[in-house]
Amino acid sequence: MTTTTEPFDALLEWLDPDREKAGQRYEVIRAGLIRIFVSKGLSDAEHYTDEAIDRVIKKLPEIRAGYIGDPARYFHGVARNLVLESGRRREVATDVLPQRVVPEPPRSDTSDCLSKCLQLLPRDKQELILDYHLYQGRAKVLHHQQMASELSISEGALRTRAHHLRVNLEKCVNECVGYQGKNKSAVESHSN
Amino acid sequence: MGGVSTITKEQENEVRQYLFGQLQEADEESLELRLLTEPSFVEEFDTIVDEVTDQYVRNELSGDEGKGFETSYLSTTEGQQKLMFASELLDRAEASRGAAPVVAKPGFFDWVSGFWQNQLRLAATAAAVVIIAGGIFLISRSINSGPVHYAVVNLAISTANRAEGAVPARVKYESLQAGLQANLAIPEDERGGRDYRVKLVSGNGPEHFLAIASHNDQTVTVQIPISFLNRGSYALQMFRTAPDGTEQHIRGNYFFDIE
Repeated sequence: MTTTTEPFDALLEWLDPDREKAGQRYEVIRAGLIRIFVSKGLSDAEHYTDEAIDRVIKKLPEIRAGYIGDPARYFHGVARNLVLESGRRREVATDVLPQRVVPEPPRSDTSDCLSKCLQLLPRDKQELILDYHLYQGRAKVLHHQQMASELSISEGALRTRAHHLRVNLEKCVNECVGYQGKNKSAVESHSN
Repeated sequence: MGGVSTITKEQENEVRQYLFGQLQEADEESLELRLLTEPSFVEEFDTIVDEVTDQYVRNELSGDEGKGFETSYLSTTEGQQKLMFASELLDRAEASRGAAPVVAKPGFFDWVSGFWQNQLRLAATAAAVVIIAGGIFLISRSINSGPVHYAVVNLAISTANRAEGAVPARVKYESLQAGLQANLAIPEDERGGRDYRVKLVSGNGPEHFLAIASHNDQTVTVQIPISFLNRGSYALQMFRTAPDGTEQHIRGNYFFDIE
């Protein structure tokens, strides 16, 4: 974040006079912006999100008095502009430079980390997350019905439960892969 | 955030169309505004992204859907990371429950071609020590008393990659009847595992966890069905389960080519 405290306070106040509600609204806008940028094919969505928020903060003194409507709409307009700008930049860049190849982390790291992160879950949750991701198509639907019935919960509740587990597992794996990657780099730099 | 589904089937379809880049601009705008204002919608959105990613890995999306998802969401590093995780999770689920193997799009396995050429420094230092121990012998014979015939190959692990000179074992496609039995020498420092798992990786096809036919202190034997094999380059990767239940990927690959 490149925001300084005072303008940021002004932004929060614009979002809601109640500081706590404003903070919540800010978090929702931030989360939404990240998803919009990724969905539009922009890598480093957090960078674009920070840029969008910075732009709104800079414009705020000008627009605040006359602005009518939900501030989220203004953020949306800024995000749209950023998506268009990045599209133009990519067009120019690919005329001049070969496309950058983003190196994939070795797959074995993900596999190792998944094993480690699964081990951190209680047995019943390990089973739930693996069971939930079995099968495809119609077989999957029936399997989820059966799982929900065994757990005495609705299919929607099962879906939510599985999603929360998956989010945490994915976060754990990403952190683990990042950590292993850093360690490998350190080993390589020591061996040189 | 939390709670049960807050969107209808129609809205769910809209999110899917959005991810495929197929939504009209006005609908797109209203969906994006919901993302900026409704925490429960963000959670639904994330759930649908996961489901679509799983469908992509399992090759369940139509051509246009898959392409749309590839050119937008999956073209980002965030999307690639998610794809990698989904693929591993589905593989693990299938392997742990013994269900049918996951079928993935060849596009996703682009990383494999990079894998063959990857210049890993550590591996380079180990390149000299690679190789196929005990000589490769290839015979077509019955492994059981029954009529099922597997060609047999003995493989040692290589910590180098192909570009660095790892020599793959060579097997004639014609010699495969039921498939290929690979006897994999366990590296000395990886022996004593409670269990082992082996994954088949190909340069241009899906991956498969393989059934372990047998293992002793020095060797793990897997049988690769003919349906998993074509002419091409392959690697086997081994995973060792320690006595405390933790699983580790054993560094290196067992390379072979089907000619």
